[in-house]
Amino acid sequence: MDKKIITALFISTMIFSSCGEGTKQEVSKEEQTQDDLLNEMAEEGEDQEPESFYLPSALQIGSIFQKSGLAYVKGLTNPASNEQQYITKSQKILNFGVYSADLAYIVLNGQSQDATAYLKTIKSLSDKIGFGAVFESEELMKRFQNSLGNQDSIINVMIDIQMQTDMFVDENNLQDVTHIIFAGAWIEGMYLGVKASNTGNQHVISGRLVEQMTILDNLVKALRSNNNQTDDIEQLTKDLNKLDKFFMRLEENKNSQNIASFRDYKISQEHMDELSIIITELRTRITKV
Amino acid sequence: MRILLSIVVLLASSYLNAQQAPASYCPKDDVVIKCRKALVPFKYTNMITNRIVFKRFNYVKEISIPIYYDARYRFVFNTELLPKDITIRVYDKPQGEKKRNILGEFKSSQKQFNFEPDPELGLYEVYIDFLIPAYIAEDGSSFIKGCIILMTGYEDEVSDAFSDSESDAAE
Repeated sequence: MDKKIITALFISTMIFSSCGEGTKQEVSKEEQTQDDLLNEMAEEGEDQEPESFYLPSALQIGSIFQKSGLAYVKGLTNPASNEQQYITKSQKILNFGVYSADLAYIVLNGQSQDATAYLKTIKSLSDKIGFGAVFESEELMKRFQNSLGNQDSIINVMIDIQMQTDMFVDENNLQDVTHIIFAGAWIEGMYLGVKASNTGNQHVISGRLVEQMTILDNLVKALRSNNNQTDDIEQLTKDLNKLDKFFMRLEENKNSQNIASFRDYKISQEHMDELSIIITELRTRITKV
Repeated sequence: MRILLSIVVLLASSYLNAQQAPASYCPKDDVVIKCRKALVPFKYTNMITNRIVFKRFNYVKEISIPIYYDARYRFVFNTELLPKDITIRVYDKPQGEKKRNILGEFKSSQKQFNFEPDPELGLYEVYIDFLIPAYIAEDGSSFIKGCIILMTGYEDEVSDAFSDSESDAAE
């Protein structure tokens, strides 16, 4: 009996201590590398700690447009069935953003019959881009289902999803991915704004579209900070930068530093049309199958 | 046998505790809950973790936050994960711009504080400067690091019907 106890104790001690050491070694190695890098930076006087870029949520952008009277136009969103046809990682990440903006548009316009399909699409893509942990909670999915038809409740669930995503991104250092997701969501939000506006609300919506351009500078900087650039993301960054420059060159924008409010901002129809073409081209390139 | 089981359970629990110990210099789970409480009744829109490295020289780290014209915003700062105190200033224009106005100034020793830009100013972007003082450890070794959690929320015109937006906010 004594022998058995000693053997069992020995084995369990070995198992637990080796597991612990493995993790500790991993953590301490990772921390050490990070420390060394930061130490080096401090010695060299460089200011290269990870930059923080503030980008709003797709839900907030959707909410801004919706409050300005943007109507729901069926068939404008990227069809959920396209999801299966996105092959590359960049396509999946960008369209995760596109579908997030679509879901916000659908929910904010009370189209609950489509909401479940889009959430499922987002969940499916999340597994493929390494964000599966955010959506794995059955409780969350159940809350979403139960909230359908109740605008406030479903928005609360979406806010919770956003918060969990932000936490997950931060804990796993996935900021690069989240910037690409935001690019997809931003372009889709702009596309919906351009396509769903009508003569009655065009003035207000165009002010809102122009207002969105203030985010573009942050978005381009965030995409440029990406350490693992792929050709298509590099191209997207260039295109967004071009769009930013187009906006900054506009005659209406000459005194942009003095714009007190976008509420009264007027953009000519010609420039609005040009903006609309650029946005539509960008969106088509991302969502095409 | 009972002793054996107790020892195994003890070993297992100490292993699990070790696993739960914070592996990073920014263990922010509790802080996030505090920020979320302070955000009420504003709707959550974003959270960023600003990594702060204290170097052997003074420097300023600036971030910009775009805001929309007809929404009210609350920025909740939590600085309790900083090893040394810093100053935080909010401006209406970026560094280097002439006629830049300071909108708010805070000391990190306050641990948690809110800032709400005045909607009347018609701002579409605010700039947050972290003024990080030089530091060198007692033993002459290099740097220390920490982080600031910044959570933002917005409130739309629906809330105008409520006279005191903080009435239900948790302390």
